[in-house]
Amino acid sequence: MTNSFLRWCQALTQKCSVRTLIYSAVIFLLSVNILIFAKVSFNRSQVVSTIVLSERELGLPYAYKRAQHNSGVQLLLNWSTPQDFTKDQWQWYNKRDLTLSKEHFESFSFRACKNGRYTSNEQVGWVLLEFNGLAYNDYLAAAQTYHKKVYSAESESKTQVEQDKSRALKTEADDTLKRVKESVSRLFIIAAAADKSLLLNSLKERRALTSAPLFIAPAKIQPGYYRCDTEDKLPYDVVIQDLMVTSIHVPKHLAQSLVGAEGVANNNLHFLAKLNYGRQYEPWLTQIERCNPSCTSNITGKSSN
Amino acid sequence: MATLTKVQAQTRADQIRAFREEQQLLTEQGLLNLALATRIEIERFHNQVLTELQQQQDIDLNESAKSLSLGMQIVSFLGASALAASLFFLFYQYWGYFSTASQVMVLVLAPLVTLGVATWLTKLDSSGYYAKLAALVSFASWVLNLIMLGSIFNITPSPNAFAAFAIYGFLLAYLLQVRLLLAAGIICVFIYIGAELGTWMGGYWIYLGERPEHFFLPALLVFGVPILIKQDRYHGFESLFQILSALGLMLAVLILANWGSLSYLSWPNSIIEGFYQLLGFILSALLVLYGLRTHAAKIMLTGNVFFALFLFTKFFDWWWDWLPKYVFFLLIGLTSILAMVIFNRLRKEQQGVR
Repeated sequence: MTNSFLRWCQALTQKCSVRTLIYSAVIFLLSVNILIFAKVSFNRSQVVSTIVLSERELGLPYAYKRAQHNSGVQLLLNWSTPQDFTKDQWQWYNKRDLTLSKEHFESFSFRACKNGRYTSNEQVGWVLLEFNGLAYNDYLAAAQTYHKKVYSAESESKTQVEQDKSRALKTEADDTLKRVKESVSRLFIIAAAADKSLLLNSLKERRALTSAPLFIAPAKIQPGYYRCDTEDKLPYDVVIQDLMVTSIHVPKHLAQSLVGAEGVANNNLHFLAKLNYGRQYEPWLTQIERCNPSCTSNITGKSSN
Repeated sequence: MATLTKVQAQTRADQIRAFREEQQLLTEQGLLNLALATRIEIERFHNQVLTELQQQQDIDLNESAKSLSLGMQIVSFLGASALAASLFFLFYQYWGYFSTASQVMVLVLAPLVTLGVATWLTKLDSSGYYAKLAALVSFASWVLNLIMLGSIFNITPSPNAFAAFAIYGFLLAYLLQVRLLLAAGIICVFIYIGAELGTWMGGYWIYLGERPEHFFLPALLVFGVPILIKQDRYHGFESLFQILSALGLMLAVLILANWGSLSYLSWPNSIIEGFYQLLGFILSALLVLYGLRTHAAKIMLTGNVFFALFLFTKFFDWWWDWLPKYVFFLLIGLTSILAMVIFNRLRKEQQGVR
């Protein structure tokens, strides 16, 4: 086998004519393209899950307005992991770390801590995503509680400094609640595992608790940063680096529905987008509809698995 | 006259030029006195050979032409890079205005059309510079083809793309004798095999660079290619295979010799570093020996450079903190002189001088 391969290589480099090399190159280029189209067709031949998301979950890239050399439109999937409300600290940014069950964590076979030192050892695994479900409701409830707490706290001393501080806190609480209600992504990663079947079980369990859309997607996952610490050790924590496909191409016929008088990069753009995941868990957009601001606030989405 | 490769034709032309210069010198010193008819006959024969070589392979007939050829090589490299960048930006600038079918059509046709242009240019231009430039653009179109199809169809990134880049790079390199594309192909092979190894070891392929040991296997495989498959017809291909693989291997060992924590080995870091330092010295010495035996000067030079690098990093570890700086640099200078003495002796032995 090896010898015949070497003989073939020898013949290719020593004896074969220019014409043979040209034909080989053409056949190679066409074959790879055909393979890609076959892969795409296979993926799209069956829809594994469908979900309707809004501009809160599918945003334009941050620097979109400045990217004038790129006429294509891509939407980025915005997601977060559930906040830890037991800690007295708020993380209003998109959270990335997630505490797993022992079984889910061990499915990854991350390398052991080496001399007490952390190694990233990022792996490809699966995540369970929930849209506008319990995780978001908890987040909203916590934001409302925080808002109430800030407004109910009465400062005993009425110095100017304390009054200013209280006013600033209230403004911040107002902004936070507004953001959680109106602009923060409602897409949450609630579980992760290297083995998809484990997540299918989690999906069934979660479905018993909520009617919110749930779906599974591949993601890049690494062990949590505090895994190897001697104190405050979090042995089953992981960091979800990103979904495997996070940037979704918008075909021209769909991008047209995003273009308003202000151009595509309009911060006040409101729309509903239908996203399909195929056999190989690669997504594609099938529909985008522009709508008024209120249309996206109460969507529950749809999903089928 | 049998068809020669460009390198063989250039060697033949250089030989004729050297003969003419030596003949003139010997005639001036009275050591050679050829009959006029013979001299004219030889000159006519050489002129005929040079004309044929010039027509076949567009060789350089004097030193100024050689310098200009080098300039053309540099300009064609810069031109190809600029054209490739232009192709990328051209597509990005306008792809949003096309339907998916048109985008796909443009992407699939771009490498095919530029391949056609490159082969057509080889017939028009005997120097081969324009064809090589078109080949580089064709390679860039292929990269664009795969990247953009991945983006349009939201395909999960995969290291297989590098295998596809490498194969097309090799095909173009052998078709048009482009060393730059051979280098691109070799680098893509390094990335592909390294990424696959990284995946087998339980990591995500894109972080293949975090573990230098991923590059050992591709380096050894690429080094063996010209040993198993002769590259006589292709000037510089053999040394390019071996130099790039030697560089890949030695750089990986050098990194591990200084940062043992990056290794897969489960030993304490100091032992890992010591092991790779020793391996580095052995491998550099083996490279020097291999270069000497195969008369591959560039391989020998690579071995020398890495031997010195390993030695000086060791000196730095041992002495930088506790020796006065002037003594430290004096020691490095003295070591260099010692190396020069050894190399000079080796050189004389090679030339048979006592």
